[in-house]
Amino acid sequence: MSTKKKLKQTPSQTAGPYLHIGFLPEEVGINSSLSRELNNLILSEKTEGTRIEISGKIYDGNNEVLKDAIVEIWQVDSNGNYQSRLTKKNKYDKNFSNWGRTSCDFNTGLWKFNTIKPGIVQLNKSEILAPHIWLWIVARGINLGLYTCMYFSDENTLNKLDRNLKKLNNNNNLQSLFAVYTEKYKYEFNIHLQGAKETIFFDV
Amino acid sequence: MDFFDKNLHNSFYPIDKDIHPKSFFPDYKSSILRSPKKHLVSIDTIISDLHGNMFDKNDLGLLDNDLTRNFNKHNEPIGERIVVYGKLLDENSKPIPNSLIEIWQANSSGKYRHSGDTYKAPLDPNFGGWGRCLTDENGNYYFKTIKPGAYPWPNGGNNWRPAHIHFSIFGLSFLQRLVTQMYFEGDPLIAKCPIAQSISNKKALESLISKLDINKSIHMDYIAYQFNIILRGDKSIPFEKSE
Ligand SMILES: [Fe+3]
Repeated sequence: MSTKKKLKQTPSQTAGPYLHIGFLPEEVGINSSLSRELNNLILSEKTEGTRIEISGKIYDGNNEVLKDAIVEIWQVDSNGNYQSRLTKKNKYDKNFSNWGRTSCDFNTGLWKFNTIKPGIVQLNKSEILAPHIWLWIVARGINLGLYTCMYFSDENTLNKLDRNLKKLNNNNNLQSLFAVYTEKYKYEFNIHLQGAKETIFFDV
Repeated sequence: MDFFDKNLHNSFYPIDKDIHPKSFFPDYKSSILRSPKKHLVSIDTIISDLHGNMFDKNDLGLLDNDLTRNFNKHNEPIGERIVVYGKLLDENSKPIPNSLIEIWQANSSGKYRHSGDTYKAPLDPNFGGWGRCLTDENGNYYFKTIKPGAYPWPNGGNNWRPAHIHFSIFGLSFLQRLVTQMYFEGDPLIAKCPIAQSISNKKALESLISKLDINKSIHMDYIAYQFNIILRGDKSIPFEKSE
């Protein structure tokens, strides 16, 4: 069988300092009254599952907080179902978007999502993924968007069974993947781009 | 039988390290403290199916892809009127339909509508610099806009960004997520720009330079530039036979 020659990927470039215009135009006073913002669609009142808040800050190599980054999240619904294009019998919660976007606060650098606790993904009879949320970060100075994955520090039993975490057992910075349970339904997930506490970033 | 058994592995071709810029590129000063020092950790995922195809036409406004009108629809902005169009494909040459593409840019004098932009050049009351669209069933997209101006930026020297439009592309999976910048054919500033030059592969950088397409230009209205975008290909979909 003959094959078409593979095309080459389009290279990435930094999102630069003015990324809010493209990602969250209302934050810089560009009101698109004719259409809706896409970032606020993650939850509705009908969404199933436990409401949680996840938040954190992103630190550079000098331990300075980034105030100009954009964070996006992807996750499964509260029952561990993927929003899927490959399966027809999709049980995915129609009132939940698997995707969210926010910016770091211009003054404090804090980013925050109100979402639901993702469910356990049953991969097959013996393997699971513990509840987790994927994060993707872009900012000035980041040439290629960074992927990391947040797990929950209060899910120790499930985390021990997680298919991916098992493989990371020898990684010195494994702790960087666990969001800290701060108060009821609230989790803190700080990200370090460099240094002793450097977050594990993934080649996905 | 089990859905996940079939799709347990990441089904996308890897990020091509020869094509993309290095994370740490000291000529671009901001990358020095913001680039991870450790190697990225490879992970065997099933997340290829956490896809980004959750937007539809109802989410978008009618003027979202017309930057000449979507900020102030009554008056025309200043500058060279252009159309930027192209195809969104994956590495297998397969068109990617219904993908969100977002763009942002400076106005014709090189000024962004953003509180962080301190360049002296003026804002244009009729230009926001924001746009978005969905690719059609054949992966085509287009924007109507104003050619952005070059602008100076703080990077330790006399640095000027070549004219460019920022692109954010979703694809069908979050593994295909891409942010990049489109440049313009013939711009002498590309060769002097540390951000553009963070891509060491010459051909890869050339693929970010849009081509003037005089045939697509509209008489006495706008001039056209073509920019095709290629995202990671799905390994699980076999190559099409060549014609
Ligand atoms: Fe720019």
